[in-house]
This record gives sequence, structure tokens and C-alpha cells, in this order.
Amino acid sequence: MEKNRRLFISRLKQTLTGKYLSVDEISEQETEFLVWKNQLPEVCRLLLEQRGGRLFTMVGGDERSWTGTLALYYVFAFDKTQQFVTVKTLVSEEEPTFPSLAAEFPAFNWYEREVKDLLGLRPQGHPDPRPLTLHGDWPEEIHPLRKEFPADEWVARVESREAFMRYQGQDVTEIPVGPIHAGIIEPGHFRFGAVGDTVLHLDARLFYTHRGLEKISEGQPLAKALFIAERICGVCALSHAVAYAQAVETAAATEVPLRARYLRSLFLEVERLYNHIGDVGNACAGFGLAVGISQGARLREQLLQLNERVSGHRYLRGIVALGGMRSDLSAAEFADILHTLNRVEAEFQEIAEIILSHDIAINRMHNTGVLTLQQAVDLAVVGVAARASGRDIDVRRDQPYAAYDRLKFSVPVYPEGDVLARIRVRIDEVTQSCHIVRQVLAQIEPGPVCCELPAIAPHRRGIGWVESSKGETVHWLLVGADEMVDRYRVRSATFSNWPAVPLTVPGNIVPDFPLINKSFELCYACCDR
Amino acid sequence: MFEIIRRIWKTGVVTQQPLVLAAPPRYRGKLIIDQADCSGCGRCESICPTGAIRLQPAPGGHKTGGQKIVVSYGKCVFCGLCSEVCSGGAISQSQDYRMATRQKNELLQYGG
Repeated sequence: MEKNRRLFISRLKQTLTGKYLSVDEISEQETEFLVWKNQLPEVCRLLLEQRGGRLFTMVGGDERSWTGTLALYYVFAFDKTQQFVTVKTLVSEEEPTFPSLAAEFPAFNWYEREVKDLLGLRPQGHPDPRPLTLHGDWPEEIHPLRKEFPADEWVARVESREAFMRYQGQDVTEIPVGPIHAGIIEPGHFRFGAVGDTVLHLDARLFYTHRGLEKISEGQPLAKALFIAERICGVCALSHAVAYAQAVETAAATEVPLRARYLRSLFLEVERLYNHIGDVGNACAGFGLAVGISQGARLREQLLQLNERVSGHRYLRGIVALGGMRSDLSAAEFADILHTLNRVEAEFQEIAEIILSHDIAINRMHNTGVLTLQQAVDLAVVGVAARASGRDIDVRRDQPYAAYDRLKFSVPVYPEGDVLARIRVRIDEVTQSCHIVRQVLAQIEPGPVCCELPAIAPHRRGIGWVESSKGETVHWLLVGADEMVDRYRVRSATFSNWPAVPLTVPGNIVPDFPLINKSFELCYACCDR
Repeated sequence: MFEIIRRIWKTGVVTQQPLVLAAPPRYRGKLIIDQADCSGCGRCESICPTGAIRLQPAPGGHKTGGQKIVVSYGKCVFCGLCSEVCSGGAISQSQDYRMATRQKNELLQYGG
């Protein structure tokens, strides 16, 4: 491992000779290259195209208080060697610009626009000048993630700069939908340009309820920020909590006890199960198969009640601690999990069979909302959506965390990229998750479930990642003085996947949009963090 | 029938019996505060992630240095950390989940 790592880094240095200022070892898995900002495009291009890296996350930070500049961090994952490479560049306050990569690599699009909104760093040459995280009525010169901006500031709004696709001619009908919807869903505004029943173009406007959680966690003690992490999203609460805890543990260079790692894997799989089973059921609402919706909801409820019995919380909040887990499970609780899971799995297989053998269901899902492999790779799509388009990534296998390096499972991949493929991936993953839980129950051994973390020096960093039911979720943490959060960036699976949804809709009929949207099952809260 | 109408009239509760009788043992519900066991160390106050729990000056509480625990259920997220860190065992957590009130000030619980 160590030898491979040294080889990997020395080869990387060769590739980047003369293009970086310094190299720094951040953690066992992360190496940082400091570059001049004008060399950023070339370095990123080399890492992505020559070295086979993929964009993991990108973070902007206001570090004027201790380095005098603002900074950008581009994190690339190298799955073969299980390493991360961070490219850091400094951006001065006087000239707050950096070269944009979005035209060449569309995956950078949202990251760069977010940095522009929140930190006032302008990506030069970005093809889309519209605001993203902040809406058009937010004053352009106020950037909430700059340190001088108080978290509780009330900002007077200005005339909106929002812009949508403009259609010419008489044949295109514009259909605005949302942000307030008929069902109990989160806010998003969708504007269809339709010719007859067929969609020509879709604009999706999100970020209606951005809460500024990254901002309010700044200056919080590390333990208290865990509670903020846990509340980013309702249905992936545990994934966010574990990802944050892992980021802190990496910054502290501490390995959590083995039993805690197994318990984390166990609960993360239960979280995936209740989501996937509920999502497969919910997808049936897209074509009116009531039996699927009801049965999916019924089985999901059984898992939520199991969660409450074994953890005290239906959505698994309050069970993760920094350094492990807050409590252990008893033998009776393990038996309860196994018993419930066996029953739910058998019943779910029956429902899956009903759905997949239903002609109308298949007809509606097949060839609907196709995301091609090229699009998935270009936009760095993750999770179920990536695997249903043939992009074979899963951080449980590629960058193992918790106890996944000790568990055997397969990663289902389908090449079609349509709604049906995304549903099939979920159905297959349910089987795999049950398989993982059984392995955990068979392998887990007695031991401590939590350890004390050592003191963390200021400006230590850590990355934590989890394959949530939506896809890989990355938490990037910079620790400040007195073990407080200095900068915390959450890149949820949803943030990576939303830009792909509007691409899959053109050519489909308007009534298929709810089905396509459900097949991605993206939450808004994960973006509105 | 008459009995049900009488109950609704009297209690404002429509269902005759709650659907779930008891929450599971691990459920983290309303706190039980035994002020007599409080040493006034303030650990609960400092660990609370939402600032829901605080020590308030109270006359006569000589053992606690003249302080009393006050919990606001408007802020509490039921994480259970206060009962975990309580040095004297003054705070414990019950499985009581029925905490709806009609008045905002009834969301405050004072140590007794």
C-alpha cells in the first residue's frame, strides 16, 4: 500500500514537473499540490485526462485571516490507487478571478458558479453567468461565505436577474411548474418548453431554501457541527453524519475501533435499504401502479420502525459519535435486524417481480429519460444514476471506508441509462445490502465502539465520504483554532446529479417528467445545505 | 358512541386509543429531571447542540449553587447528550413522545 502510494505520487510529480510550487502530504490518502492559478487548467487537465482521476469535490475558502488570500481546492479521486489529489491555488482579494474549466469539463459548472456566488471568486470564461446558489434577487456584491459577512445578517433584495431559456416562434408552449408543488415535496421550479406533448428543453431552478448550514457551522465546536451535518437531509441523515465524522477522524489521524466501523456499515446499509425500497415503490406513482406505491411504503415503514427499535430514531439520527458510535447493539437487537430484514427482503422481491413483469410499467420505464454514459462521465454523475448509465463507480468498493474493505458485495451496473435501469440498480442493490448486513452480523466481534480523539491542530484538514442511497457524498473539513470548524463544504450526491436531470428530459413527453425525476430521486435539501 | 363524543368534548382527542401504546426502550423522548441530584456542574448546558438546556438561578437551591435546570422543547432535538454527560444522574430520558401543547410557555420544563 505504502509502496504503491509512493510510486503513484512520484509518477504524479513527473507528470506535473514544473507546474506546481510545492507538494504536501495532508493525510494517508491525500496529497496536495499547490499551483499558480494560471496553471490550474493544465494541471486539472493532466490529472483528469492523463492520470485517470475524477473530480471528487471542489471547495472555495476564505483564508485571509491566516494566509492573506482566498483559496480554491480541487479534489480528484484516483480509484485504482485509492488516493486523493488536491490541487490548491491561491486567489488574492484584489484580483478575485480564476480560470474556468466548465466549458471543457462540464462537471465544474456548478462548483464554479457556487464559488462565484458565495465567495465572490469569478470563474473567467464560464459559459453560464447566471447565479446558482443565491437567486437573482440577492445583491451581486454580497458574498455570504466571506468571513466578514455575519451569519445572521438580513440582506435587502434587489430586482431579480433570473433568466430562463427564451423561445422564439409560436409553436413552443412554456409550462412553469413549482416551486410550490401539489404534493409534499421540496421546492424546485421547472420550466418546460414543449412542442405539443414533447419536451424541447427544461430549465430547472433549485436552491429555494438554502439554509447556509456551511456558514453557521463555521466557528462551532467539532462535536456540535455533527448535529448540523446530521440535519442536512432527512433521508440520508446517517450518511451525512458518518461522512462528517470521518472527515474529523481523518483530520485527527485516528482510526475508529473495528466494531464501530462494522456498526456504521450496518446502519448505512439499513439506511440504503429503507430508501431504495421506498424509492422503488414511489417510482410506481409515475405510472399509477398503486400496489407498488402502497407496498413500497409499507415495507419502508417496517424498516423505519426497526430503526427506531435499534437506534431510538426512525431516521437514524443521534447514533454516530466523533470517534465511533454512541452506543452498542445487543445480541437481541442483531437478531431483530436479521429477522426483520429477512422478512422485508422476501416481500420486496415479490413486489419487484410484480413491477418488472407489468407490461405498462415496463413500457413507461423503458427508454424513458435516458442519460448516456458520456453525459454521466462529463457531468461526474454519481450513485444509482451513474451505475444505471454504465459508469461503474461506488466508493464503498473504490475508496473503502467503515468496514467495507472486509465485506464482499457486487456493484450492479446497467448500460441503458433509462428509468428502468435506475429502478433495476436499486432492486439489485437491495439484495446486495441485505447480503452486506448478514455478513456484518456474522463477522462482528465484541470490542469498544468509540475512541477518544486527540487534539486537532489548527488548519488540519480531512475529507469524509459515504456512498449514500443517492450516491457518493463528500464532506470536506478545515479545522480552525481551538478545534472549531473553519470551513466545511458538503458536496452531496444530489449536487453532482441535479445538473444531469434536465439533459434526460428533452424528447420525452411532459407526463414522463415526474417518472424521470423520481427515478433519479434527488433531494433538494442536500443542495440547500 | 356517547362515550366517544364525551371524550372528544372533554379531552379534545379524537381517537379512542393512541395507535402506538409505548415507544421502544431506546427511544429518546421527554427528559426526567431530578433537581435534587443536580450538582450544578453545567456539563449539560455546554454540550447541548441547540442551547435548549440551561441552568437558571433559583432561590433556595443550595446544593446546586442556587441553580435550576430549564429545558426548552422548542429547541431540544432529543439527542440525549445531556443525560449521557450528567454527572449526578439528575437528567434521564423517558420514552414519552406526547409533548404537544397549546401554549408556547408550556414547552419549558423546570427541574423539580
